[in-house]
Amino acid sequence: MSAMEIVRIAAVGVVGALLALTLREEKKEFAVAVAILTGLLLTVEILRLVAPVVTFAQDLAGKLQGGAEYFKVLLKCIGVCYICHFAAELCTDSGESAMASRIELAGKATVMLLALPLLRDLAELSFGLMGL
Amino acid sequence: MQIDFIFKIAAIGILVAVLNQVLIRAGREEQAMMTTLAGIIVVLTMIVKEISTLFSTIRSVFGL
Repeated sequence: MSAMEIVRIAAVGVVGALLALTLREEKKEFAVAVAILTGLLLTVEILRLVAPVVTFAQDLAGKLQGGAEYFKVLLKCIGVCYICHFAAELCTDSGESAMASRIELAGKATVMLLALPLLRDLAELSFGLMGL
Repeated sequence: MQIDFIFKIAAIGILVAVLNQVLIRAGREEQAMMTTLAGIIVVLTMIVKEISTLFSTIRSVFGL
């Protein structure tokens, strides 16, 4: 089943690339639109492929003590990274690399903010070990 | 996966390019620009819907 999936994904990518190439000479905006849409469809399909893996890893992490909540933070960070990377790539493709780097900076700040409780736990643990 | 979306947007692009050429040859440059603008708006509304699908998929997979 996933073998057929990969053939379909590859075909969609090639068709989108060819259409974008055709449109690039006539109308550049529409070439960008076709590229964006192809990327969107491919990313949604990739996420559908990857969803069972994520649930499996979630089950695995749930067996550890306190692993489930830490794993939730990790998953959130990965989701934030996906969204930021996607938006930044779109901006770069449209020729706005300054905007892309701002979006990536915002993503880094968000990931840092999400990881803050973990950092606090770690600091408390190490302070406890040191007897402070 | 809806590949017909890609075909639709490419078709709109080709149509707008042809209309643009015809209108510019006929000496109606303002209308040519308006046609381009209308095409871009139509395409963008189609894309925005797909972007929201992508973001909701990311949310459901990663539990955001």
